[in-house]
Amino acid sequence: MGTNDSNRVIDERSLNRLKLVLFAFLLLFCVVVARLAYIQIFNSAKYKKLAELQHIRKVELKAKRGEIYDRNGVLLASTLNSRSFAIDPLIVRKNNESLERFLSFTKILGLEKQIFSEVLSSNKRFLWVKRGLIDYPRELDTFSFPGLISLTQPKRFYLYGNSVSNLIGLTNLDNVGVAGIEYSLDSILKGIDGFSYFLKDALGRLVPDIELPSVPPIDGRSIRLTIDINLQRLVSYFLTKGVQETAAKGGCIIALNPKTGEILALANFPNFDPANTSQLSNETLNNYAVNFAFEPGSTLKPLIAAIGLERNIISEAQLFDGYNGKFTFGDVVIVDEHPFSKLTLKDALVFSSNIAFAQIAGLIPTEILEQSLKKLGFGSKTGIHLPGELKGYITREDSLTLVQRMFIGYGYGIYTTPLQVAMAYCAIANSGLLPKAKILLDEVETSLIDTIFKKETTDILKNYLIDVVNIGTATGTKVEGISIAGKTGTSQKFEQGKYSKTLYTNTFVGFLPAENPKFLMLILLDEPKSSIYASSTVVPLFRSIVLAMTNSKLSSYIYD
Amino acid sequence: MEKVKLNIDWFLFFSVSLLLILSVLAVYSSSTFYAEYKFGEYDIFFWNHLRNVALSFTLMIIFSFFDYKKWIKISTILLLASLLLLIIVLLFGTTIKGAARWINLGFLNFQPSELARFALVLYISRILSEREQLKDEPIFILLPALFWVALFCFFIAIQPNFSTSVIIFVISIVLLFIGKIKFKYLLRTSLIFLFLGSIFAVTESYRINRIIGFFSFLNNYEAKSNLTYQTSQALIAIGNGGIFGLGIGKTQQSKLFLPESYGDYIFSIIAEEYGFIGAVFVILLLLVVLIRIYKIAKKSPTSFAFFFSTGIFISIATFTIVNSFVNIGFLPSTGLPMPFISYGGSALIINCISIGLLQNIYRNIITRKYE
Repeated sequence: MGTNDSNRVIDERSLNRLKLVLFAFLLLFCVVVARLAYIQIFNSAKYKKLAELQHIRKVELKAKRGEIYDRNGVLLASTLNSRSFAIDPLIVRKNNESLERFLSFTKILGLEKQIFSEVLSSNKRFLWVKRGLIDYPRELDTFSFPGLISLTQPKRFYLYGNSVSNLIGLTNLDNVGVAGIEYSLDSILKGIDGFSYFLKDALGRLVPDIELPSVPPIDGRSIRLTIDINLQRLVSYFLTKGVQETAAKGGCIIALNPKTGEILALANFPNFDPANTSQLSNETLNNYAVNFAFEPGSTLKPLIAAIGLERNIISEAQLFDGYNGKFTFGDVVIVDEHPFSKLTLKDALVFSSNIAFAQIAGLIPTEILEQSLKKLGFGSKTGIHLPGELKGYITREDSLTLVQRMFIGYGYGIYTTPLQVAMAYCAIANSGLLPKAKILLDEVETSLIDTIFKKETTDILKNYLIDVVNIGTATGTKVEGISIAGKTGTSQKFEQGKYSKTLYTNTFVGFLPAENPKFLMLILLDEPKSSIYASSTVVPLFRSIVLAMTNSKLSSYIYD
Repeated sequence: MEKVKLNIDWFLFFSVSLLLILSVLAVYSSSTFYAEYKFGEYDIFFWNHLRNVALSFTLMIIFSFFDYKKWIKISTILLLASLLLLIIVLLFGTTIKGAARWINLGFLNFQPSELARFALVLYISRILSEREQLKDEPIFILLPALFWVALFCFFIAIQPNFSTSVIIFVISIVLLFIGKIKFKYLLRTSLIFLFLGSIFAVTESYRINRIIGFFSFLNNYEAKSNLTYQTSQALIAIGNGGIFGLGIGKTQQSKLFLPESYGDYIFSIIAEEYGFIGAVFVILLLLVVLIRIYKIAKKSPTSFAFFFSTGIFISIATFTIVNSFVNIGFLPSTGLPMPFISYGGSALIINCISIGLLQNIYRNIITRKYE
């Protein structure tokens, strides 16, 4: 083979074989390009999604929960950053060093050994170890080992503990309102969480990227309640005392301004410690004021009297038959504690005559009675921002029968909440004007004040109710120098199909100063045991609270 | 007749130069995150690579002036030197990721297997071109060639570097095929190698696992084991690039998601940053390089030049295909670089020297035309 002629240097067969190889490679190149097109053009969306999953992390930017203040701007509930720890058991198990560190970690936190063995056996990838720590050993801030997840989480804390717990309620570990104001106003308090997208590397480290969307959080609004925390604590203190002294099942006190409907204090027993929520039951979370429906008994009598007087169905001078303390109507027998043969409306109220009021209610036409009670707010929610408010009812049937009306006359057969009763009394205290119940101070609402009674009607009743305190069933609440008007109620509870002989609710609603009331308070004790009569349970309690108020700057809620 | 001043295949020159530039950009993009994470210096790989590229580029130019015929004379020396280095690397080599493949030369971790590949191509080209003296008996060509191939493949395989061993075998067989060695001999040889290779493959669990893992991955793309992790991540990089790519420097997969993103899987990062368009552009550049080499081979002034050019052609083409197949998920991870693109000095230097020699052959073609 010569080396001079380039055409003969290369063997034809070799060249053909090279061409074959070239062709084969060209084919393989086409395969590569086709495959690239398949991945990058036709299936790109699928891979972009997979990429996004591992490259982009959405981080929630938590909105700060609004704070809760009392009417004077005293902070009641706020939010702190707390530390929570979780574990990835799979990673901890794999690593001997992690196991050791975790053991000392649980020791620092003072956890039981049980958690340690739980971690050793769990197949989960995320296990809470301790949540919501505010006070914890500072060394935990820098404590880390593979598998430990340390999170900063907002935690709600409450500055006034049990005294206002049932009203304010609480949030759960995720900072979502689950009871009380926290629950009912959650949408206002929580704000709107924002979010931000971050680029993520394979180690999970985040890097912000301006091209990725980000929405800042909108913090929750803070709210001001109508309550005065000092009054609240005072009232709560006496309620607890009262419940304990009477061995009652529970109770509540509602204090409000009858002119504005603003609730100044709303205390409950049983209550709970919001800092220690490990043993909560529905019962302790309950708010008697709105979650408890009862037959008001005698406390309804002044309202029945007002309805009768307003419609000129009865008059002040009218004499009612007292039946000497025992009135039989069909198979119904009504008895009075103080027997009368004849008695005036004033006597009937001051001595709380069931017989007289059964007759009065019987005189009021069904339609008028129902409408008037409805106008007073019975049978419907007050609309206050508290969760689970009950409506109660005037009657469950189409209309009231005569017997039912007679029962209603002295407060039976009708179911009301304590707040409904307190609000209805505002109409008497406030010369016929009925405000709406209010718990939010800055609430922009059409503060609808309804006119229910004429002033003449309520003036008569105020005088009668002053006599109730001065000479009647509530003498135990008399305070020197202040005129107090009020009415007691002792009602048997309807249990298991009949009225109980041992279970009672005691109520007292009073307002003062009687001439121009600024302060109205309802005290309810549920199933007191030491005494069943309102006159010896709630009446002295009312006095104690008023006395304590007049001796402090809280007197401004009574006097101008 | 007036002499042409610079006899250079400009197409070849510019394609390779462009590939080298792209390589620098791609290595920068794909290595900074890892370098920062691993060594605390984000540009450590970049400067290393830039220096290697500069060195390779210089060598490419220098060797284009080096008469290719002189290489015939030193082919045996190179062969022996390669063997020596392969033995040295086994005894004293730098072990990276469980394999002793490198000799630390201070400025460069040299991979003797790359030199061995080059020496083997040179040697086979020589004996193929000397076949007249060997009386045209294929067995006289085949046997010595196979002796050296087997020797090299064995030493490389036990480093262990199974894939390089296989690829050197394939390149040699294809070159021998073009050298008109009878097909049946080549088939028999391949079967023997296949048998030996299989035995070798099953002796190490990682190898067989990698292969099994890969095939289960082909059947079920959702499978996510460690064995298929790299392939999945490469596909995510390529797919996320779409048609136009994320943009230069915007790679996200190199942030520790895709291991070896500057080496084996650099093509995936190019596809991620420059999209389908960029990836195809790189493939086309490599195709231009290959076609120019093919043209040089076709017009070779000597039989040796023909076989040598062909040998380089096969080497670059095989490496390109194997590497891109790894990237697009058609082959399991091999550790073989993309020619002119991947990080790693040895392959780059050998490939650039090869191109330099081909330029010298080209010069010979042109000068002969005017003589």
